[in-house]
Amino acid sequence: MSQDTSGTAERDRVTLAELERRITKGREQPAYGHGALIVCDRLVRIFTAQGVEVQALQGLDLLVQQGELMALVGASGSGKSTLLGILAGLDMPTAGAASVAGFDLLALDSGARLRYQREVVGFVWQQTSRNLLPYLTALQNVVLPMGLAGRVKGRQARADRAGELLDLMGVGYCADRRPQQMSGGEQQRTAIAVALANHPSLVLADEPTGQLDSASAAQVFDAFRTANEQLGTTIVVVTHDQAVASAVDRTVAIRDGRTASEVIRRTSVDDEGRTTVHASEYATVDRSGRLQLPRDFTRALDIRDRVMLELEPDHIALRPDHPEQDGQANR
Amino acid sequence: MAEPRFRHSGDVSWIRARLRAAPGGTLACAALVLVTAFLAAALPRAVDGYEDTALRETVSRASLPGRSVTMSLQVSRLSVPFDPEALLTSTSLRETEAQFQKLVRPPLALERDQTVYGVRSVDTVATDPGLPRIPSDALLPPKGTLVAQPDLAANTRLVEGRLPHPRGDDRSVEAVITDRTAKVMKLRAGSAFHLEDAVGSVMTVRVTGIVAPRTPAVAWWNAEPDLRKPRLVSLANPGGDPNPYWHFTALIDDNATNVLLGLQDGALAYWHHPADIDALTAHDVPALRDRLAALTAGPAAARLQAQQRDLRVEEQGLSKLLGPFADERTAAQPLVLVAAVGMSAVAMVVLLMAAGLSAARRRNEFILLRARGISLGALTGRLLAEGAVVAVPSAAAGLALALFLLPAERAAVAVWSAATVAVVATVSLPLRAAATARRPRSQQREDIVATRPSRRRTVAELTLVALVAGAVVALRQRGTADGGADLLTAAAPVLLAVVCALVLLRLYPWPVRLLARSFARLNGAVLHLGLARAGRAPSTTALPLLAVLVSLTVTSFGGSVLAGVESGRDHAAVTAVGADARVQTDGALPQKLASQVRKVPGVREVTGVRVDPGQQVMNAGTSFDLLVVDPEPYARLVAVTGLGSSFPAGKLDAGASRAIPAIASPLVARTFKHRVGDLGSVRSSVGQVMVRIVGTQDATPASPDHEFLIVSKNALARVAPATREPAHGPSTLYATGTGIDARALRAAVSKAAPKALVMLRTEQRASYGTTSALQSGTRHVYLVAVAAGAGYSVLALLLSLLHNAPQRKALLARLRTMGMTGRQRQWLAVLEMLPQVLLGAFGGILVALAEVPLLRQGVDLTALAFSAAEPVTGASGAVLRTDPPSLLLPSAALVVLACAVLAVQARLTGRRGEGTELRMGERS
Repeated sequence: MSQDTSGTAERDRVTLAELERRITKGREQPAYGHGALIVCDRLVRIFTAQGVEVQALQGLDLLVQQGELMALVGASGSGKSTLLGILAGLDMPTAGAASVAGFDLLALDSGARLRYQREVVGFVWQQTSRNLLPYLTALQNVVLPMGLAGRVKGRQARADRAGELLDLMGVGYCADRRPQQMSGGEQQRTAIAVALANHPSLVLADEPTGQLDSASAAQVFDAFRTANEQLGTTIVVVTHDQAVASAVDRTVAIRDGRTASEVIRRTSVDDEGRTTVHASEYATVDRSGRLQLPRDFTRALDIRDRVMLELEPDHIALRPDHPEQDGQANR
Repeated sequence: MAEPRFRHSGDVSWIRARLRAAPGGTLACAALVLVTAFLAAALPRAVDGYEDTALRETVSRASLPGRSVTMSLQVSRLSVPFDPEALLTSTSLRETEAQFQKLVRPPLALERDQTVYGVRSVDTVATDPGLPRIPSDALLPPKGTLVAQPDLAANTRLVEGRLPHPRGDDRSVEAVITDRTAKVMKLRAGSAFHLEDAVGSVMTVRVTGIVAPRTPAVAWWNAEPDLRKPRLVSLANPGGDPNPYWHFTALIDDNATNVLLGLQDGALAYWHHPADIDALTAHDVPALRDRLAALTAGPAAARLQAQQRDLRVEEQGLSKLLGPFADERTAAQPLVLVAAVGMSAVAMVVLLMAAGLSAARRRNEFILLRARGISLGALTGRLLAEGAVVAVPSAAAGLALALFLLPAERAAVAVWSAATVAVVATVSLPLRAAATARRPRSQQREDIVATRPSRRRTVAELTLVALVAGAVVALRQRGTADGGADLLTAAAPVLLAVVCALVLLRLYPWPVRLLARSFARLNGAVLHLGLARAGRAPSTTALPLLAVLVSLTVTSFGGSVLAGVESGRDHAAVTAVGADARVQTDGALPQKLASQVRKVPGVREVTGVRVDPGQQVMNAGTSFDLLVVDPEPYARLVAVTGLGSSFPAGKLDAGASRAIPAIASPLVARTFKHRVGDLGSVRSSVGQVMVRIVGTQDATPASPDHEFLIVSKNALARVAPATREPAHGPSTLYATGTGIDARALRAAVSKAAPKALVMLRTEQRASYGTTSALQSGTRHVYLVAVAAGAGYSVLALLLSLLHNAPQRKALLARLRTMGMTGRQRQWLAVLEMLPQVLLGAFGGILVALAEVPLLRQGVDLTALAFSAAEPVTGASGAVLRTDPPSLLLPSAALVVLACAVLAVQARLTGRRGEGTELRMGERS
């Protein structure tokens, strides 16, 4: 009896100490997405209108590192614009966690939101008329956010900086023109300059080339790339445009409110100086290990409710669940 | 760092950029604020202006003594035993005048250069046989007054003889008289007359010269009566003809006043101060009356009398003029206040709608700015500055224009009104923008229309309706207020309109939706589409409907006031005369007069009534008129005039007992009832008669303001046959008819009964028709306010159409691409807005009908219908009445106007190409 009790007491002691050790180890480990600029963890956004519920985002996970130039693609209704609205601070998620550059997007009060919108994020909408104030010139449009943030002091300093940004975007000659006097491509490039006015860490763009022809679209995308390379700004572009999607380093496809697949492009230069671009498509795995199978795969194998998984030394095999085939295999 | 490449710093001056961006809108806004501020400042100035004009006209129509404040001091050897002469010297008079002037404070303003003071004798008669009397055998001798006023030489021109010397003894004095006095009294330079006082002591007055006034119109000659020429005064003689006598004045030197002390009653020192008409202001009238009362009987008078005993201040007409004026002004104020409140409500609605329209148009800009990181305070501040730059100068210009064009005394109210307009115009846009852009929201479709409004809006509307309904109930239960300007009463139309607008806006979609559902089965698309769109919850607020309702209500209020005044006057005329014409005399009228009156063109029926006034119920204090009538014709008279309920003529002749049946007024009936068995004896012109009460009437034509008892002629003749004689015949004839010839009637009456009095209802009615300056001024201001309100409500309708214009244009363009013809599109546009317009018209009628019983007790029309000079019987008829034309005409005009505007807009939009309306990628 006494032996038993001493044994159990020892086991209890060990169990308690063991628990403490596990907790401290867990705390020391970096949190999910530590070090990334954008961390979306099981983000949910539900719209309710007159008794009808729409789940725009159903537990979306996304990690974007600093300095990335990435695109978000997806069918309409997949939730891309909703995600962009949340990241821009214009919308509040229903559940989950989202943080950008250390700002927790679910816990922004009005002062913090203001700071976030001024200093951390810049955005470009699709309609060019909504990006610029129609009664101000291009230069004045770029100067306006600087004046609001107040970081650059002095009117001349602000004007100079605005001019530099416009030159960077390639529309320096439009500085004194009003939006009605500029073409669509020039307007969008000015809009990018406006988004960059306060040196934000993140620039969001919602289909910026949607209303433009391919030449202007190429110019606009060059502007994005310049901003990304020279200013180090992280850029997230939501787009339908295949040209844009294939020019960025990372493309994330969103389907049914979750990230479904990613395409990562790596450029390699071989010995003769030829650059090769390798594009590989991946399926996204979220934190709990969930995976979305591409539709053509599931249709090809007629995968419906269940799949069988087998762990091999260097891969996982996925087989559809067809009972008669299994029976044959077993025999 | 490169040298600055840009000429301007690029730092945008927000205000300049905004003003340059939309010059048309800015100008329109500035014009709106200017007009509104002008009207807001002009209304109080105009009201002040016509009130002051009316007051000054009223006072200037009075004679000089009738609008003067007079100080007087009786000095005689009896009343001032010690040195009375010192009080009559011109120095003493001047000092007393100076002391009086110290007590004169605003608002009482007396004309200093029209002040007249002097000394005169009291009540003497001139018994010289040579002096004229009219008629020559008249009983009373002329009365003469000796007057000493300073500056005799300066005010007179010597015609004959010389000016009087001051020396004289106790019994004789030198004097001059005016040329007209000399002519009438038959005196010459060098002649003398004697004045005798009540105890018989005689003073000789030697006329040393004849003078003529240098300026006859100045106060010097007009303050004291009869200075320039004698006047024939009639002394009333009860029981006979009045006795006339002459009253004349002679001027003595102002240093000779001591001689007046030789008369028994001594001398009267007087100081006349005419009121300064140009300094009178209507809003100071109560303070002025207080000041006058203080001077005549209050602390100021006490202070004067402390200086000098027996010093009295009185004014013979000023307060009698001011009293009725103040009453009339108080009675006219509710009208003006209702118009002012209504007009300002509509103007505020338009300003708020303009701000709302601007905020809706610039919504994307605000959202963009907020998303770029502008704080709410900074955004509001910029919009405030933008608004102030436009609104404040415009309001100042409007105020200056009003102050310049409409002169009046006070400017405070006008300045405050214009300032309010400027504040509302400046502040409304920032507040609206702050409400819209408070929480940054991503873009939504703008043409989404909810089936029903949000819950928050429902709660807000319910709260507002509850508050306003509570105010309306409180107003109703208050009953007769203490008269005059009352803000709650004046705001009642606006409150009613608010409730009606909110309730109607909630209720109207349901029947429209039912209609739309039933029209869905028709072939065409227009009706169904239009009604379906109209059946959704309205995207605009209740503001345009409110503006329309308020202006319709104010218009119909004016109409009901006029209708009330007219019907009040009609009722008073009928009550005063009793029929369309009345011939009355004391005693009995000649018998053939009735048939002659019947022959006068226009007369339909004549009935005779004998009126015996002053009867008394035995042992009770009630006095009444005994009316002996012919029952059937009298019943017809009652039916025609409407004075009294249905007259039971049959009862008056029924019964054969000794007590004749009688119909009494309620008080007489009650007095009779306290005795045994309703029987009572009444003393008539033929002795005691027993009567039995068989009915009561509230009023009767033959006795408008007394209690009465009506008996039948035949029944009376049955118990007292003496009444059949002509001497007991009818004393009054009542004639009914239309278009009675007044001249013929008077001719017929004067031929048969010269002393009879003839009154016609039409003449009596016309006598009420004189409108004073105050009433016509009120009417002008009211009309202008109604016109302004109507203009503003039309503007509100236009703004609400403008509010929806982009969506409507896009919708019509899309429908055109789908194949809808131009006419169908026009109809669709009209149909979409028609329910709201019809709602406005219908709601206006509802509110106008509801406000009459609500305001009836608070608005007293008696002072407006009748001038306050004579009391009027039957003035109770002057209350607000619904006036159908003023209800229906404005509503109909509104509907027609709205349809016209909509049709024009639809035709205009039909011409533009669709390329500009529909763009690829636009989400709305």
